[in-house]
Amino acid sequence: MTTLSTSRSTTNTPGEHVTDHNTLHTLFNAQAITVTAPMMSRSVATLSGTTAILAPGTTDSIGSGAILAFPDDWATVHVDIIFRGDGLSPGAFHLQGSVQTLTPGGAVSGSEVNFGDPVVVTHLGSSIDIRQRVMTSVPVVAGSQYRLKVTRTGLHADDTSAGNMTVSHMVITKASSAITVPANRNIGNTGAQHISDHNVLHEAFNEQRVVLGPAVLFPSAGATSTNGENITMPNAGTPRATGSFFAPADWATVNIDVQWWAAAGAGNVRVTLSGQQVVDGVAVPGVSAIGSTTLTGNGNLWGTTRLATGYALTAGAYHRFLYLDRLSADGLDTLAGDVLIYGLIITKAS
Amino acid sequence: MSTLSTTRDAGSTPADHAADHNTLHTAFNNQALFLPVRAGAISAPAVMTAEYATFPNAGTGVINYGRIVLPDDWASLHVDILWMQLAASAGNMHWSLNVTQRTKATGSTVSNPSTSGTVVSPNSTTVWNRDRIVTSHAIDPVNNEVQFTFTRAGGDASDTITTDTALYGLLLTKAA
Repeated sequence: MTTLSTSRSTTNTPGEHVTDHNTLHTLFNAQAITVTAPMMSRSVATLSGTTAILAPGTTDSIGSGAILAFPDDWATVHVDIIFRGDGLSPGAFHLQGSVQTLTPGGAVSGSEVNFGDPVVVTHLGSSIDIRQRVMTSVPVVAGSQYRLKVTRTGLHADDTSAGNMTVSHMVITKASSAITVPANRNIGNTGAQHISDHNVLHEAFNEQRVVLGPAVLFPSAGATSTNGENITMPNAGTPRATGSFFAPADWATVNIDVQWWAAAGAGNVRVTLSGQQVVDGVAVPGVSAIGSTTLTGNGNLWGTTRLATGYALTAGAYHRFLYLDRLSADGLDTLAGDVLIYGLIITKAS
Repeated sequence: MSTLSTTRDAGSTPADHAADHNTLHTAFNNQALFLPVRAGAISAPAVMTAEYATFPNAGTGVINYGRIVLPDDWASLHVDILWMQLAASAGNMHWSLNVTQRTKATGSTVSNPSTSGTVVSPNSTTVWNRDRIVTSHAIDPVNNEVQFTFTRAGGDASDTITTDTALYGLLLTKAA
């Protein structure tokens, strides 16, 4: 049990503070993101209950679902998957990891690029999990966003199992940080070292964010979703994507950005964002406007556009709904084709 | 508002540092995870309706969440359900929750307890409900891969409301 005292004062001993530091530092260095199968994007692969099925004899992939915007201090990540095989079809799976880097305002060129060497792993049947590292130390840069994928190359000669590969998780672990804090501080460390630690932790505390990917955005009113890759909003009517999020109790306001891409054609997209915050045991309030903006179309470029700055979270509410609408009939909406919505990034502002 | 200074220096007072500590420690102790229904697999007669899953008054609807790995510092957790009624009806909703804990290395089951009970309906279609259904469920930090299966048994004798219900998700809160 590692609950920390919240009543520290100037009379606590250095030893107590050092223990607190090391607990926090250990967690800071060991952050991870777990993507369960229903949240993954899938190419050819199918979803069965809570697992993704990668069939033999073809090329199937599963992806991170959301286009990930990592915490700013993350420098590299490892990518593992947890899977099982088919008890009646012993053999190995041939796996290749790949990465697509998306930078706001940058061109969206092609798809993912293979990262590292393929991995061939022999499965242990249908009742034993294997956690396998597929990509090691993938560089990530603050400000860019990433789609991570793992492909089973079922047609490769080294893929010798004739059965399904059943994937339950993708685990993305912070492998190194631009600013690592030592987890072995003691009372001999200098004041300057401790202050440096403080500022690193404080910056991370202030920059927390949540990405609502396509798997947790519900399409309606003409919007559609395929394989957890994105939400398609056509140039007709008022298509909608609905998401919800839980905010930690210390969050007072948030900034909200939308990740989007107009794959073909030029023109602008008019969108509006509204919200609803609910309190236990109280009648649900009406939906209120948060903001609207024009996504400036500029061809085949990755868009990340701010929809709301300093959106106040109602005190006492613990759950929030967000509604993103495309106003295709608005005079400012000049894009003739579809716009693809990849997610909403919610960042703690205060 | 709890934004922390990132420009602390040797001139900052012990009181400044103590205040920083307590803010960070409070956040550390109050960690929570929200599992939206869209992250799970819905079994009939429950159906994914919109951003929620509809659990009908007739039959036994189930949502099975994929296995998640809890933070290593969690020793126990609370489970809340976020739900609403889809028509007014006084009475109780019967629920059950299975919490399967597995080893991270092999996926084999460590424990598999089920618990059940009822929550009181507000008899309103406009009131949002957050109800704690499990308190301080112990987690083995070595084997902290956990899978949750939620069930509403509309046909159970203790399920006395006569309406469908909407489940938005489970909220897991670090208890210790």
